[in-house]
Amino acid sequence: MKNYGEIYRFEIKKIMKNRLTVAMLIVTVLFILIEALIPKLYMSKEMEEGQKVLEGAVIDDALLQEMYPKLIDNGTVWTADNFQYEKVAEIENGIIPDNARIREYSADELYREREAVILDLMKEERLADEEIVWWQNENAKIDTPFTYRYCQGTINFAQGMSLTLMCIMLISALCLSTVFTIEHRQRTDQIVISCRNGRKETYLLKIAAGLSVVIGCSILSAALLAGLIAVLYGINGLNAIVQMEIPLSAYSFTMGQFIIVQMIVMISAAILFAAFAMAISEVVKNSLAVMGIMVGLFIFGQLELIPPRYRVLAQIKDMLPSNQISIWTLMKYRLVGLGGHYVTTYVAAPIIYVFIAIILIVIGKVAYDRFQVTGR
Amino acid sequence: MLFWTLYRYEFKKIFSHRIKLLILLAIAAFLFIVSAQRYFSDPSEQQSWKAEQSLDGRIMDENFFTEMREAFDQEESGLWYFATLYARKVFRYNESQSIFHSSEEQEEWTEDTFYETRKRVIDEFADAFYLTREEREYWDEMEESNPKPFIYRSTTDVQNLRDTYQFTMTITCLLIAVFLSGSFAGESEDKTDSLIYSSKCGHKYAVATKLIAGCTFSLAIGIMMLLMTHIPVAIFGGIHGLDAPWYMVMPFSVMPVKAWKMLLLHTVVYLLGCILTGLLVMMLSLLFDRSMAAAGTVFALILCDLFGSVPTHMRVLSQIRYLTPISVLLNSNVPDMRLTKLCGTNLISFQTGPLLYSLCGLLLVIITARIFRRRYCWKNNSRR
Amino acid sequence: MRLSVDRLSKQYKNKIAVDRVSFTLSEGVTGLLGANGAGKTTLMRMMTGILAPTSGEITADGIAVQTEEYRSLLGYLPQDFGYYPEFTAKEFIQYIAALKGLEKRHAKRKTDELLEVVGLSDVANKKIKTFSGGMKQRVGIAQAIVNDPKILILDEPTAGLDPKERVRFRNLIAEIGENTIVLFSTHIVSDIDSIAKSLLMMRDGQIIYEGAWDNEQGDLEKFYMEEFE
Repeated sequence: MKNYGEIYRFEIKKIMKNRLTVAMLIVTVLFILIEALIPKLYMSKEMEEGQKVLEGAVIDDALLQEMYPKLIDNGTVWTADNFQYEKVAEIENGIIPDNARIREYSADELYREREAVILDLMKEERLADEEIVWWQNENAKIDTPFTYRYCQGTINFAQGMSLTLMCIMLISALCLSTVFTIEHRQRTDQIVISCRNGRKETYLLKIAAGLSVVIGCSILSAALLAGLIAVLYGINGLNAIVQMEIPLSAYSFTMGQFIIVQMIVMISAAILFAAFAMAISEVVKNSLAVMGIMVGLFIFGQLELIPPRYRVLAQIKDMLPSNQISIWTLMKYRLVGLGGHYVTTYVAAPIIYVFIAIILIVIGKVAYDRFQVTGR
Repeated sequence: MLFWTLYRYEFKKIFSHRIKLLILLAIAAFLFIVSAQRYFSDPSEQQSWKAEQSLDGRIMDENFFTEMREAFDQEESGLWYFATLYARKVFRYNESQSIFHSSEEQEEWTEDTFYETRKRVIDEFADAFYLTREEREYWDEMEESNPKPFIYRSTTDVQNLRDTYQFTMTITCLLIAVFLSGSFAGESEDKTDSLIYSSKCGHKYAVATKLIAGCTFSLAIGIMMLLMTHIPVAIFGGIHGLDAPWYMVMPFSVMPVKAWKMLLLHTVVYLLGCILTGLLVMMLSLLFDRSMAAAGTVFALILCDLFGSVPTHMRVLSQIRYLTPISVLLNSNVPDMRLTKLCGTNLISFQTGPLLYSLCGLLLVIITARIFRRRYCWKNNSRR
Repeated sequence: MRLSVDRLSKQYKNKIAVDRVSFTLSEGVTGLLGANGAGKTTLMRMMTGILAPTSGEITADGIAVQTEEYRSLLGYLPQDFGYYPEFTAKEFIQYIAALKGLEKRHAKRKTDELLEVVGLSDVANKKIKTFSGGMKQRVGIAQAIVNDPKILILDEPTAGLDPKERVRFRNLIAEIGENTIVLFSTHIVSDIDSIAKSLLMMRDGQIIYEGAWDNEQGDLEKFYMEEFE
C-alpha cells in the first residue's frame, strides 16, 4: 500500500508534465475569462442597475399594469425609462405564443397560459400520463405569482458551466487519452508490466490519477468561473426560482440549487469523460481516434438531428453531458422510469455516467491485462 | 515519376491505422442515415411534400394567401402545409429565430402584409448588422431585381441539402484533423524523420508530397461526406426545386439567384474549407511536432467556431469571425448582409469566403515551407 | 534459486518463434547467443511474463511466471528500452522502484546508490532526453537492478555502447551475477566470453547448445561462427 502513493504521484506527474496538459489548462482559463466577460459586452452598467430596481416585486396584475404602458413596440425596445421591466417582459414573452401581444395578458391569464404551454410541450415530447402527473405535482410546489429576483450573476454562471464542461471534455480527450498510450509509444510498457505492481495496481492507479486530474480541473474551473462572476456581476439571486430565466420550466429549483445540480452533473460527466478517454485509448491503442470520437460526440449532442418522435434516442441525446448541463435542460420534461418510479434526468444522469464509467474502466482493465508485448 | 511514387506513399501513410478507417466508414454511414431519415418521417408529412409540388408556379398574390389561410383552418397537413411553414417564417418572425421580435396575427396574412413584413425585417437586419449606406443601397438594388409578387416553388429538397452543409463541414473538419495531424509529426513520433530528411529527395519533395497528398485527401474526404448527405436526397426526394429562386429557400434573402447557384457556392465554400483545414492541420503538425497538439488545436478552433460569438456591434471582428467555413455554411434564416469591397466590387460572404480561404491556404503553404526549411535545411556558412 | 523453462513454445500465425525450449538456470551469468531472428527476444519476453507462451512453463523455485511474486524477483532491461523524456534519471528510477514495490525511503536511497554505481550521479536531475545513448543504457541497467532482483534478464544491453562502456558494463554484470541468475543476450561474443559461466545458443527458435564454456573448449567466437554458418 505504501508504494501506491508513490506510483499515484508519478502518474499525476506524468499527466501534468505533458505540455499539452499545461496548454489546455491555459486555454481553459482563457475560455472561462472570455465567457465571463462576454455578457458585459451586451449590457451596460445602467441596464444592470436598472434590472435590480424591481428586486422582490411580485409579478402580479399590479406590476404588469404598471409595465404595459411603458413598453415600446411590443417590448422590443428598451430605454432608460423602461429597462427595469426588461426581465419581466422577457419572462412574459417566454410564456406567451409567438403571435400574441404582450399587453393583452392579465397575471391570471399569464400563469394559466404557462400551465397550458408546459402541458403542450410535454405532449410534444410524448410523455406518458404518469409522467405528466408527476410534473403537475412538481409544478404545484412553485409559488405563483412569481417574485422577481435579479439573478444575472447566477444565470451567467449557470450558462458558463456549458463552456466549462466543454473544456473538461477537451482536457480529458487531449491529456488523458495518452495516459496508457504513452507507455506503448515510449516503449516503457515492457518495463512497467514486468514489474511487480505493473499490472492491476498500475492500471487502477493510472485511472485514479486521471480521475483526480479531471475532477480537480472541474472544481478549479468552476471555482474560477464563480470567482470571475462574483467580481463582475456579483453573486445574486441564489434564492431566485429558475423560472426567472426559464419561465416554462416545471422544476421547483432555486438558482442556487440548480447550480449545485450542475456541479454534480459536471463532476460525474468529468468522470465519464476521463474513463472513456483512458479506457478506450487502451483498447484501441490510439489516442487520436479517441479524441476525435469524444469531440465528435460532443458536437453531435448540440445538434438537433434526432426528431422527438424517436423518444428513446432523443432522450439519450438529451442526456448527453453537453446537453444535460445546459440551462435549457430545465425545459426538458422526459423522466427516467425504473420499476414504476420516476426520477428526473438530473438524478438519473449522474448515476448513469458513473455506471458507464465503471463499465468502461472494467473494459479497459481487460484490455490492459490482455496486453502482451509482441514484435514491433 | 519519383514525385508521384512518394506522393502515393504519403497517401498510404494517411490511412495507416485501421481504427481511423473504421471511424471514417462509420461516420459516412451515419451521415447517410441522418440525411435519409427525414424522408421516412410521418407519412402525412411525406404526402404533403409531394402535394406541395403542385403549387409550383403559383403567383404569391392575395388569392394565394387567402387559399392558404382557409386551408390552414381546415387541416394541418396537406397541400398547403409546407407553403404555410414558409409563410410563417415571414409572418411570425420572432426572437427565437433571430435578434428581433416581430409578429403578426393569423388573420392578417395578406399579400401586402407578407411583402411589407419581409421588407421591414430585412431593414431590421440591416440595422442589426450595422450596414453602411452603400451596403444598404446595394441590397435595395438586389431586392429590386426580385420581381413581386413572388412565384411559389417547392424547395423542400433544396432546404434539406442546405441544412446538411454546416454539420457535414464540422464532421469533415474533425476527420481531417484526425487523419492529417500525423503528416509531419508522425515522422518524429515514429522516428523516421532522420531517415527521410537525410535522404536524397527528402528535402526537395518531403513538404510538397505531404501537402499535396494532404490536400488531395481533404478534398476526397470532403466529396465523400458531401455525397453521403446528397445521395439520400437525390434517391428519396429527387432534388426538386434546383431552379427555384433563392428567396424560396431563405425567405429574407434578397439575392436574385437560383437555388442551384447558391448550392454551388455552398459546395465551393465547403470544398475550399476542407482544403484549408487540411493545410492548417499539416502546418500545425510541423510546427508542434506532435500530432495530438495539432489535432487538439484544430478541435478547439472548431468548438470555438461553433459556440463562440462576437457581438455584431464589433463590426470588423464580427465579420471576420463569421467568414469561417462553418459559419458561412450556417443554415440560418438570417442572411449575413455584410459585404466586402474588392476592386470596386461588393462581395457577399459566399464570395469573400473562397477568396479568403485561397489566400490563407497559400499563406499556410508558405509558412509550412519556411518552418520546414528552418528546421531541416541550413546553409553551411564555413568560410572557404 | 533455480529458474526452469520447460518445453516452452511460441507460435505466431505461420512462424514458430520459440520451439519447445527447455533449460534450467541457477545463480551466475548465462550468455544467450543467436543470430537475428533466432528467438532470443521472444524467449526473454516470455521469461519476464510480458508475452504469453503458446505452450510450456516457466517457474522460479516453483513460482509461476505470471504471478506477482515472480515479478517481484525480476529485473528486466529490454532491447528497445523506452523512457519518459520529461523525467529526470532520478525520477525515472524512483518511479520504477515504486512499481517494483520498494518502500519510498529505501527507493530513494537505492536510487542514489545506483546512480553512483552507473556513474550518473552528476546528471541525476537532468532529463533523460538530454542523455547520450550510453547514458540512457546506464539508466536502463540501474532501473533493472533497483529491486536487487534474483533474476535479471538483459536483452542486448551493450548494443550502442562504446568499448569503454561495454567493459564497465561487463564488470558490473559479473559482480551482480555472483548472487543472481543473469540471462544476458548479445551478438558480441566477447561480451560474455569472460563473464558467462554457461551458454545458451539459439537458432530458429531452438536451443542448439547448452552448457558451460571454458577456454579449454576452444575459441568461443570461432565456435559461434561455425555453428551459425
